[in-house]
Amino acid sequence: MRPEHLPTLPRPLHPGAWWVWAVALAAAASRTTNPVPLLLVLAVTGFVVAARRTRAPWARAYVAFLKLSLLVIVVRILFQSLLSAGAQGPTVLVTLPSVPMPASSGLKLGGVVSLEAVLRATYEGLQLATILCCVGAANALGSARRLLRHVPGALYEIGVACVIALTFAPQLVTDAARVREAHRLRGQDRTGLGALRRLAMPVLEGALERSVDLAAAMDARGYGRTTDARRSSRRLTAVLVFAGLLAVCVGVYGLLAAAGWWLGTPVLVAGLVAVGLGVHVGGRRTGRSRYRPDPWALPEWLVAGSGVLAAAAVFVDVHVSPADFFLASVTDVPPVPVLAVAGILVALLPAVAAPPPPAPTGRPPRSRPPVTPAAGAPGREEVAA
Amino acid sequence: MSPALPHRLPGRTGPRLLLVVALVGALLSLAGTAHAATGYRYWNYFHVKNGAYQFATTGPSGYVPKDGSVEAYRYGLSSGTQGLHPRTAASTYTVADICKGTTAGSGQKRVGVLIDYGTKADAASGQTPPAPRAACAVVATSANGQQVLDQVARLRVQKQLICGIDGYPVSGCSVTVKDAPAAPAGKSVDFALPAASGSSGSSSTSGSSAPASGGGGLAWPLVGVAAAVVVLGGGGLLLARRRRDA
Repeated sequence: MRPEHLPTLPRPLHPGAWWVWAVALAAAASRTTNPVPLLLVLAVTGFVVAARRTRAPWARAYVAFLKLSLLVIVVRILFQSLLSAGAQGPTVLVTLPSVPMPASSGLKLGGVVSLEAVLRATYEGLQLATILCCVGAANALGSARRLLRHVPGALYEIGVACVIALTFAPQLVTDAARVREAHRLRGQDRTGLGALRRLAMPVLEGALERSVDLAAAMDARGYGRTTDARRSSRRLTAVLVFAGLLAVCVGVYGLLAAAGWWLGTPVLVAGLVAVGLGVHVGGRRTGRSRYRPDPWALPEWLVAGSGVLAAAAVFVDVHVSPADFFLASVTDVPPVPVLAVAGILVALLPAVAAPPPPAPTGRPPRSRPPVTPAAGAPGREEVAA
Repeated sequence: MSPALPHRLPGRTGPRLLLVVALVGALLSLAGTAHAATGYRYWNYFHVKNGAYQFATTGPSGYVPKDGSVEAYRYGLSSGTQGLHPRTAASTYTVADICKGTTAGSGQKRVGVLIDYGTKADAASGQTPPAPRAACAVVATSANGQQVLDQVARLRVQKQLICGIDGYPVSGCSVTVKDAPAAPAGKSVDFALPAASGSSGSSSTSGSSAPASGGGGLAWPLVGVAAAVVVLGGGGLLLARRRRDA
């Protein structure tokens, strides 16, 4: 057995596997407003993130997304219970002092707050919150930057551009902080439009300088060369990808607008096939090697598979017994869909099946990039897609 | 990030752009012609006025029924402009019939509610509709139509729409149906009246799909899931703290 098949060998897991796992869980959460499976998905993602996150700066994304989702729930409850007249049910919790509003608006300010409205807002908010946390888990576990290394060859240039943008975005913040600090030391005021102008110019200038530096560095390393630059193949790629994407758009429109059977699925499938062909043809012309490619080994299969299995269990269960997933009344005790719960618990597998992240060795974490423009070019690892 | 310098603009952008615009336009116009009469399978909502059904122009939450009025709901496929009437004449059941033996206190009102779950043909997914029933709601005078209905039935509400009454239909909300057939002239059926003294008739509904929430044994799965959530959450916190200290 090759070493990368062992789940105990410390290495970063393929980010695609994490994204498949998280998106599958989000899809499962999108199928129900029953708080039982939703809370379980939340707990599972939180546990796996706690067990397998790295020390990289983006690994803190989960907590940020968790806070955001709490905010979503609270805002929803406030709006529905305090402002919506229509959402109230018969079980009155409290009656607040109210401000009269025109009856036709359907709005109210204060007044009766009912248990039904609060519960309904909580459950609907919980669904959105769970989906948000799944995205947060994917961000925390699989770096978007590493994922961009796996864009197909035809989209290579776009991938490189995205990687560079992602690398430089934090640097802009650092730059802005540095310039503001300089202004403060000189005793200039730091508010108002004038200050913004004085801030924007040096930041933009620094960014431009750095991108010219980076372009020169990449040029020197051989980026931008095309191995097969025949006009016909390039044109074929462009036509295929563009027509395919257009067909995908029309197909999705056809599916959503229910405008004739022929406009929906067939056009969508044709578009996807065209895009796939275009990406394949375009990928042939770039003969680039990958720098330290992420393997797709047994742990990747296990992680992605556990997520897909959980989603499949929820989808099947929704089909078999839909009453367990849509509460007939918000005040009901939520039922426990056994198959879905078992499936979601399977999604805990990555907490042990994914290899532990490699321990930081020697090199300090790159959370604070150097501020001098000349040293700002990203490391080879980030750009080598 | 940096201002894009147009140093390698392709030469013949004009004709290509025109071609693209023409292509998109042609496809969109094709899509536009393919519309047909669409119907919606949902809970039609009526007020009973002068012995006739009046298709509501607002949702139940936007209307405050008067004391002694009757509201009617019918599940089925309708065009959305006419509505699908309950399978009984509007004058058959009056408040006096529905609310016999029920009295309203001060600051309260009595509103009769007719709920017709429709026929098997109306059902979206092979679910058997319960028998139609009538119920008497005794609510505060200011209560709107949705609160009246909430008093006598279990409501599934999504995005401010009433999607299910007493768990029927189990899932889905306002299904759009292409080329909706005209509603057949249905036979009149009897509505089950509430027991004389009870003010809510929700116990008579066919709750086959609903969980028996009273049984102590049935709560165990819920306790198990709650325990799992607590263990996972606590374990996650513990792991995170240990990693931070390490």
